[in-house]
Amino acid sequence: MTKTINLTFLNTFTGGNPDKMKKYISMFLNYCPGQLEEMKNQLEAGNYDGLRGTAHALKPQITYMGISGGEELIKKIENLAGTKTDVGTLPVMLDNFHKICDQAIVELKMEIASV
Amino acid sequence: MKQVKTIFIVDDDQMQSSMLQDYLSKYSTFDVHIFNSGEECLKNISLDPQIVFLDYNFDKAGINAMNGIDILKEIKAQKPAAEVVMISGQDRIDVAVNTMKYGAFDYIVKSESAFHRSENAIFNIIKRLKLQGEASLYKKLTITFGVALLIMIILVIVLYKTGVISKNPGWV
Repeated sequence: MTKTINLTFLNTFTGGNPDKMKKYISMFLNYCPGQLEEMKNQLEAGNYDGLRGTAHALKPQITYMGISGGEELIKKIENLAGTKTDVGTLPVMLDNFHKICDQAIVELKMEIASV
Repeated sequence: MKQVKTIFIVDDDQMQSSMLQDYLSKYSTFDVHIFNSGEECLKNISLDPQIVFLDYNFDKAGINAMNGIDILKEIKAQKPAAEVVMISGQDRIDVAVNTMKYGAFDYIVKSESAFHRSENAIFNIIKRLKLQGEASLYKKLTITFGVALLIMIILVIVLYKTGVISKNPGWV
């Protein structure tokens, strides 16, 4: 099965230092689930500005964790929520993004255990 | 010449701040401070930062939190010599231009290359400070030389008028 995460950047950035790798992965694991929940709540409440803000804040971390497919999707969510266009597509997009992140979280937990 | 010693990182994204601080830790001469909001940064502005890496969006810092542009304006008002480098997840040119309009030195998009670009921004600021220092030195030298020349001319005129020196000195 293809991996969702690609830690090449993080590995290069930390110089392969296991403590730093753990530190950043842990930060992401502590941060991401709450943000996913918040995005879901914001979408349900029709709070598109809030959704744009949360997506915007999470975007760099998705990039740093090398989450395949996640970066493009969160950019689209941020853009659509910001412009409030095509908002009907947001629930499916957010659901897909949630699934990608859930998978990434599983892989990152395995990674942190093996570092 | 003013040296770069104190650097502020102002971002409500803890991971971004921490990564940038780690990246800059190879330069032991920098004293790097992290702040989660513009308000915190401004409270500590007396530490006199030479460079401020400032986030554009502070959505996570609270609904009443100052935004990046307001913080930028306030930093520039209180510490005009501080160079502000904006860091944002927005890769829109209009946002970048707007920050430059209010005096930002550079605009960096949060991405994998953001850390390297931040390092380059620091070196460009150091280079600029060095050039400013040299320009200031040349200006002082030019003024000193001009004043010295003027004094000499006045002295010659005075000596000539008082007859101490003449057009036809005896030794010619």
